[in-house]
Amino acid sequence: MRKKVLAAIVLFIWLMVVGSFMLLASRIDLEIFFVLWLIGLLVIVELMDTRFSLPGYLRYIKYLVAAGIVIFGGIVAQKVLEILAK
Amino acid sequence: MTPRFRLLLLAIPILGVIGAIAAISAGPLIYSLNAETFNSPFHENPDALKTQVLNSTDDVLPLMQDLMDYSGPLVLNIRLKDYEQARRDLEIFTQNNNKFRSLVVRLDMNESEIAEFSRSTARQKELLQDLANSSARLDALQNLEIQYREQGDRNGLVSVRLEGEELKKKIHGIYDEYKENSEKITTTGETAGLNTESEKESLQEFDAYVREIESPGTEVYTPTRTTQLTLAIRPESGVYGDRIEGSGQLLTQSGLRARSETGKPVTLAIDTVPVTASATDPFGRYTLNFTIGRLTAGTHSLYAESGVTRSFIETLIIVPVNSTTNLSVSQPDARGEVLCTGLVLAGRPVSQAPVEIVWDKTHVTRTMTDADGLFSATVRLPNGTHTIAARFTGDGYPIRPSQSEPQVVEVIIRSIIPQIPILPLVVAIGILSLFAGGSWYYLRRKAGRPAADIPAPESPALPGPDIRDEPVPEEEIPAGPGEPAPMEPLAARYARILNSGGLGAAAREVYLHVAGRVARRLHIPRHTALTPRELSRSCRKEPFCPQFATFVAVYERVRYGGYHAAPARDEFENEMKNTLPHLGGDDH
Repeated sequence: MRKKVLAAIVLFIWLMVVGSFMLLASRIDLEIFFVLWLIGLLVIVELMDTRFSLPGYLRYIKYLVAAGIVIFGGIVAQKVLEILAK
Repeated sequence: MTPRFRLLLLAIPILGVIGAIAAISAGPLIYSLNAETFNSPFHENPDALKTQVLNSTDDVLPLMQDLMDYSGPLVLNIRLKDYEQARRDLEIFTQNNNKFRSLVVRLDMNESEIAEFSRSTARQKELLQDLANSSARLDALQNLEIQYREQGDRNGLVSVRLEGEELKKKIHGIYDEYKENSEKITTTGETAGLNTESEKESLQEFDAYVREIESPGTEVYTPTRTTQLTLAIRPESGVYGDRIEGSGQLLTQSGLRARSETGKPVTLAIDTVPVTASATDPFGRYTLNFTIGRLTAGTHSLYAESGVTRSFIETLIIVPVNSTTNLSVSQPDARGEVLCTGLVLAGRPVSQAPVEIVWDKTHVTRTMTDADGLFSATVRLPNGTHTIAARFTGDGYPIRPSQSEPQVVEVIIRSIIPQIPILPLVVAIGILSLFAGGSWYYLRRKAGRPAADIPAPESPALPGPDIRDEPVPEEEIPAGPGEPAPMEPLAARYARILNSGGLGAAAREVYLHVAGRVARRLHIPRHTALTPRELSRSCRKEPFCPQFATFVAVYERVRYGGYHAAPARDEFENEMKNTLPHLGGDDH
């Protein structure tokens, strides 16, 4: 099985697990879902990354991860502002 | 993986999310009551408040139990004439009652049975206070009666007995009202599942006390006095701010004559709390003054004390008065702050009294009046129209509560810039910059090595588009100016490009040559679409494949790993020499 197919399946399973727990807890929180998705993606990308070559699909995923990190920074900033406001 | 399978895989989470949204869309949970806190009163959720009220039984019930537990011992202490202990119990009872009333207001239970309980306990507190004062006065009258009897003062005796009868009637009236309140409290307490034994005991004790004082021939023990302290107060009733004068004389029995005591300290106490002190003059006389301040309306017992000698108890009646509260509000400034100033009057200025500034009926700011009854407070209001009023509750004062006329304030904060706090803005920009930097580093770094160690790319590279990971067909590599024909031997081409373009470009030329030959041998169509490693993995069951895999590993290290030093070049050339013979054919 190709690496990118395996990565897609693993990411899908990870998101299903996260979604299932959120449904069981009756608390769907987009922020937590996003952060857990990003963590899963980071782990998968690190595991499938190559040392000397960079396939096209991996490059695009890395752009996605970089955008995710910036959004995560936005979430962190929002939380810090909430704490400062109290 | 077929496209249909991929679509199916994608459809499952999409349908899952749609299903989850559909499940909660009928009654969306905007706030999680257990986990969420409201950022401001504007986020008040009616459903959440209802549940909070229900949860607040944890706060209400213990206070109700405390209130009922204190009433029993309180009446017993009054009956046993332990007024000091009764006063302490009454103070605690008052504190608990105030707390309970605040809780009822805070939880918006004004129309509930709990509010009725609160009103009953508040009335019960007043009745107990009256009972304590009346009981103390009755004791004093009994002492006076004995004194007059010893002196043979018939007029005094009649006067004391008449007053005693009035007091007994008053206590009986207090008992009737207390009984009515107590029954209400007991009913509510039993409904709430509380222990009402103490409340019932208080009623029994009260009943026994009433029967005790009404039974004729009650003998009261009066100690033989060797020192006597007299007290007279003037006037006997007053309102807030009135000056009350207490005067008397301290005499000591010396044989058959009374001798005045000079320079002895005398303290005046109201409801057993000392309020002022003085000393006797050469004739044993003293004068004590005090002003009616924070004392509740009703009857209070006063006595003077000098050492162990205590005067008979006098009664002071404090009459409640109405109050007025004025408020003026300044124009809001740029930040929406308004200055609220005003005055609390009860015939005269009410000093050191708590005042509440209430805006929009929900927000309360507390302040105090000064010695002249003036108060001021700064309130910060958000944009919009607001109603502000000042409220004097009169708690603990012989003054009825009052509230000012509501003032309407229009707040328009024109400048946006001062509203944006600098610190949060800097923090937000800092955090975002930090994460943006992390994102940039993530894109720049290479797996297994920090970004800083990446060597600069060799220049000039091969002409044409810069393709790092996708090999281009041999035909796409244009020959440089003055270069020989494409049939030039591979070794010569390698040497030429090594000199002009560096090891990376030369290694690429060799790889494209080798890859083309491998693809031809293995019948791989479009081999240029594969990465070196993918091509290496595609090579199986052929004798040259292991050698080709080794060659690819060294090529990747040189081409993409940045290893361009002499040992790397020697290794590459060595692998090139070892690989080409395995592939067969010529090296053109």
